[in-house]
Amino acid sequence: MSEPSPAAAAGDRPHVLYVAWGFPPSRGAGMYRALATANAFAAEGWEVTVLTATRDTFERLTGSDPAAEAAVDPAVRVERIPFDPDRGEEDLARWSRSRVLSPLLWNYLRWLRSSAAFPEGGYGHWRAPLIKAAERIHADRPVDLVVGSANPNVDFTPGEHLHRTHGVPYVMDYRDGWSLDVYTGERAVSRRSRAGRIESRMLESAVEAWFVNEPIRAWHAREHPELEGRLHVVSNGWDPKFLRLRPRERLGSDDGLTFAYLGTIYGPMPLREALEGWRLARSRSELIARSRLVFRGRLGHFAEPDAHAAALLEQYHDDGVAYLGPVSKTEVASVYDEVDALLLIVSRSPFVTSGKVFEYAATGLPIAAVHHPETAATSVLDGRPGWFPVADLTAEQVAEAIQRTGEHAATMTGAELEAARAWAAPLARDEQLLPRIRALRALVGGAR
Amino acid sequence: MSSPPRHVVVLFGSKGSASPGSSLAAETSRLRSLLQEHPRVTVITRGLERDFAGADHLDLAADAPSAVDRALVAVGAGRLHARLRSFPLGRLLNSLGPLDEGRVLWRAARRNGAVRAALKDADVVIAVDAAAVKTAWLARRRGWTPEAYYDHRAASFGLSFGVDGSTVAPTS
Repeated sequence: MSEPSPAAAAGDRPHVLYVAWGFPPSRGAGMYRALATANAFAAEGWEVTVLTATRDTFERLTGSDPAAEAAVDPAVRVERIPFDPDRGEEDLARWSRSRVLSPLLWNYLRWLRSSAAFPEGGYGHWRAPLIKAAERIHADRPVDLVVGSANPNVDFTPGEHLHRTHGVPYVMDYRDGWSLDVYTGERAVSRRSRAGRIESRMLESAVEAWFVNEPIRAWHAREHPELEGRLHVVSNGWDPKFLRLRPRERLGSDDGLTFAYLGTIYGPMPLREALEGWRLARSRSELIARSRLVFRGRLGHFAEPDAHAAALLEQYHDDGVAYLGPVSKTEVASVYDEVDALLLIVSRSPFVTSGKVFEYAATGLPIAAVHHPETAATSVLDGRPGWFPVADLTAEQVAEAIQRTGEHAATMTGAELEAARAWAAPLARDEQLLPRIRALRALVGGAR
Repeated sequence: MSSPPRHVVVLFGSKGSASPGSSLAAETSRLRSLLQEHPRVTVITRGLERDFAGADHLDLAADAPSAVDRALVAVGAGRLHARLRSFPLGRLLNSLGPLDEGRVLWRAARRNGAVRAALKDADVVIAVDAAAVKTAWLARRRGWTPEAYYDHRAASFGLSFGVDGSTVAPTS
């Protein structure tokens, strides 16, 4: 594994196979990391092949963001293979008699078959097509490195396969955790389970494993002390490509301020607490009473939106709360340009950073941080100008943070805004990725 | 479909499963695309109270139950169905039994002359929930309609939202 690959030794550009189910046009939150990683490898002179699912997969299952696909570096070759064409099939002419007989039984049997292939019910069946595609890609143009990006964890299987059969080194980009439930801090799968054994085996052979923050990395280092030197933090970051913001002289208008939340709106986040705090702040502050709060993002992680979140937002309609639908990553800058302050609503967990915290930081806008202080996002924003955290998630505390955020926004100058933006420059995505990509370049050898 | 649909039938199989949140999906539903062509629309439900403005609404809830349904009630199948619904294996068994919502809808639909006529006249049948799939599938299978789709994103058809600027349901 430490020997330079034939391609790299010959002075060619090293070839990285990047395996990511959630690649553009997926609308999943992890898509941005996948997009940035593939582009960063390409920018560093690697030949990049991305192995991902066909476009229709995302239209059927997660929703798609076609505009994000235009952001893929043209030098990146994207190999798309079908993912479970039956799932989400709308045309009933393609539904079998057994599926119509009992969709529940049909789904259960599929789940069993999928789990037999790989212990990840909804994705296990993708293992065989992935490996077949990886073999074909390696035969066409030898692969020097494989980076698998979870989740799903089945994305790790081509790397392990090419390592076992051809000695190709591989990286496991965990992001969060396979065994670790980042919301509870508990083990999600036991070490002795089939999934636990497969994970341990994959980790033992991986050249590196990446995690989005230090608490998650440290948890894995405790679980696998023998791997200490190979576990790295590659945190998320903001994407300069998508965040070209205009200068502003002042924030807000005589009509008040526009507060915004941008990001996926989903179960564990303290949405109700945030909305209660907003309602209370409006009753106490004339400025907030004149202001509005808009939510932009997907309702839940799936193509079918989370009805509970929709209903909750609707309850606060008379409090100046509006849900304005999802927004493409390619359009977020124009949204930030129209708002005056941000609400960062994140689940409570020392393992949860969230991807949006970096983008929020880079906008320069005042931020009411509506999350428990132990949430990992705190460490990212600590010291940032215009950051108003809460000590706990009571309506009282949230209302106070919102009021202070609003007062700060109402008096903020253009120069203060630019200073806050400059503070976040080291949090750019490439700053996190480049050290690892360069280290891997040294590992596979070769010269540009 | 080569030519625009003249008549679209929208089937709701369940009284309560249609998720209002579906209208907030960013992906365009098939139904919404079809409505761009301004076809005649017939909505078939089992007691769903919504304002289907501009559409014909055929409600099966008022129909007398079939002999099979009466017999099932008489032998207490409803109580067994309710008990089985409380655990996963029971739900699996229910999905194969006569009180599965899909089978209930099909029995009701084929007994109602107006519903049968609508299905036979339809260019496209849209099942908006899982309970409507069997009827839509059989309608296509029997040659009553040339096309049938499962489109859960259309589940909010007939609803509108108070949330400002949200992507509201198609209503015409």
